[in-house]
Amino acid sequence: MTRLPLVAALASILCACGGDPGQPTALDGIADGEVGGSITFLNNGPFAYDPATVINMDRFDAAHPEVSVSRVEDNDILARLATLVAGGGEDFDVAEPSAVNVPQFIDIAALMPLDDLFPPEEMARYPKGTLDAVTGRDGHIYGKPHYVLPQVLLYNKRLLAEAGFDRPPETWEEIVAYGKALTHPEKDQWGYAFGLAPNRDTYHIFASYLYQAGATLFHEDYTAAFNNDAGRQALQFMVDVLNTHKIAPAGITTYDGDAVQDLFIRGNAAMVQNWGYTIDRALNREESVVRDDLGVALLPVGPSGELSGYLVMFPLVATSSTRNPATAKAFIDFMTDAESQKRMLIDEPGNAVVPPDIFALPEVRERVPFASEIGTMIEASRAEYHPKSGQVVTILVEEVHAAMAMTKSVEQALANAEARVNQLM
Amino acid sequence: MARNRLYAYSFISPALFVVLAIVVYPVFFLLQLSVSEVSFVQARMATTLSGFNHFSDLVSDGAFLNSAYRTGIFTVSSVFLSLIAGLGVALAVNKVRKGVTLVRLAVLLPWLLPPVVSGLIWRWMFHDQFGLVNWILMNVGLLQNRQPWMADVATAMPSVIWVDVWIHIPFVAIILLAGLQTIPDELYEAVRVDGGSSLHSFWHVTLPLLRPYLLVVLLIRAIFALRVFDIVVMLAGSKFGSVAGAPAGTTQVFGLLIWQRAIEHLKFAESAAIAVVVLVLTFIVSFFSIKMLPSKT
Repeated sequence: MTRLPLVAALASILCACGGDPGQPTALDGIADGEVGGSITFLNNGPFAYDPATVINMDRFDAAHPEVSVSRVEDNDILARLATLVAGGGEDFDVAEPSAVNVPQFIDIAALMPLDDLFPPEEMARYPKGTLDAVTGRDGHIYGKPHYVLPQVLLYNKRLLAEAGFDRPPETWEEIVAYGKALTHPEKDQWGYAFGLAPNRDTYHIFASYLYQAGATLFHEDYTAAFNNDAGRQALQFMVDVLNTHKIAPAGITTYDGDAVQDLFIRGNAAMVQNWGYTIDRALNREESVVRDDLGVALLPVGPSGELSGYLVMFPLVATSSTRNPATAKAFIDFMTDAESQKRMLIDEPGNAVVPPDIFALPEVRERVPFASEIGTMIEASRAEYHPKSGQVVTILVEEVHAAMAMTKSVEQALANAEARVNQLM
Repeated sequence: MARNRLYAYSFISPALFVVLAIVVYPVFFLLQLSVSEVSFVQARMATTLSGFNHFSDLVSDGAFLNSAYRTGIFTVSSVFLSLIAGLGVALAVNKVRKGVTLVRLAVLLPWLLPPVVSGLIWRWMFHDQFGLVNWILMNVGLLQNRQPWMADVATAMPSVIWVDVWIHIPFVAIILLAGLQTIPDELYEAVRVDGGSSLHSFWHVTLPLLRPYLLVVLLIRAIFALRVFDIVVMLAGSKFGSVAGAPAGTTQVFGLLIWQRAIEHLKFAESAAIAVVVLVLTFIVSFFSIKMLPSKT
């Protein structure tokens, strides 16, 4: 009898804690479909690195005084999304994940369709293939590109000139020939490098060479489309750069984009295939020795003979659990309109946007270094959708790394990857 | 009397609640998840009991078997090496008579750093182009070419083990040092009077009397090693979340696999089953270690 109050007290505490664990999104009397109230935006990484995002959020605040946007930064949006669906609640309304992580959340209905943000005139601004990664199996579009990281070929003009080259390489064969001439390990100088950190970087780089070889990652039914001559050529090229021609540092299978950038701006690599943000850092970082020798070119073409690359994209998505969908959409629409995109390109060096019309603006041409090369590369790049994207990334990372480490042949690695990807569906 | 008990319960209830909320409930949830099928209804995880199929699937799961093998290598090597090295450091520090505080502080330093920070420091020290390790080894003539420590299948796991040992030597040393200081000098005197050597003293006095301390250290280190995650992620993983245990799966310990299945693949039930296996292994190690402890120390 005497224990009853204690049990009741404990039970009430437990009940109180068992409710919605997330931070509820206030509607503040906002009618359905009306823009207002508050939303939470989860930014990919610190705002300190995203000045244009902050500028555009400030512009949104000024344009929509009836809306309150909570700004949250997180380095691991994937973990945040995963715990959101596992734990429930309305932790946030709008997020900026990597596009490669988006499909698996579309597949479990964790994201809201955003088709109405793409009227025909807006849709026309996006080149073919640039929205594939955020278009679900049902044909709906679930993310609007916020920024993209184009891959370009960066080269050290001085080192190339010293080796007798007056232009950057334009084909894989030239990459190897230039690389051999520019590799001097005794001087800590490597001819060529790309970053194959054991994460989605490996997926992006492999896909890039695969597209250059003329293949794609998946068939329409999401089975593997890479275990063919083009796939073998792509992976063999990567393996040969490291193990046969030895024109890249042995550690590239641990390098992320930042490590490749460091190698380049310190003068230890004559040419790198890396993300566009390297341009700004090569031009402006104090430790950069290539400030006056920076060259930027389109990616060399592979056996397909066509310019191509993988488009790394960070779209804005709205969670299906948001209690304020109209405001979430309005926020996404504002953050990705032409003015916001122009600010992104000008004020956030290294982060680009998709629509070619932004690159054509005189202000952009004048203020963004190598805008023409970046814009052309984005137009020529693409990405693909796979509903089990998380598992596909793991499979390709494991098999590509096995080939790079030569614990499996290229044929074995691709055959294993194909079998494992096909099992997923 | 009953009133007193009520007071007693009310005083411990906050702590009890915390234990229930952050220990007991998650463990029960984990066990339930491991025997469930997970589906997603409107982006919310729903579970239905399905039996032990996730556990039986593990028997033929190549990634799990690889992780079991890698975790075994890591645990045995790291625990054994840190015990040996920690014992050596404890014996050396025990001999120090001047500047004892400074020496102990210096010994503790690696353990004072968060493992993530230690992992990051060593990640850079192991860097093939700019790393300190290659620079030193090449300058003293032990290495001809730059070694990609974390990219080479032959050196990746030994490098991870080395860092884990480096981090935990202070922990082992401090506990064993406490044990060494409880051994009366008279026992060493007696060995000397009987004509015994230093080795005799170590073998017949130090080791037997350190046994309970060694077992405690063994138990705690084994538990830490079985659930290692942070150091391996920093050394062999990457900041973009994916933890594939590169190169070629040679550093894919259980902790990485659990994270990968849950967060990257959204396979929460399969991930929970692996976590339960680790939990059971930890219980087994703990049970035998505690059994081996003398009842009176």
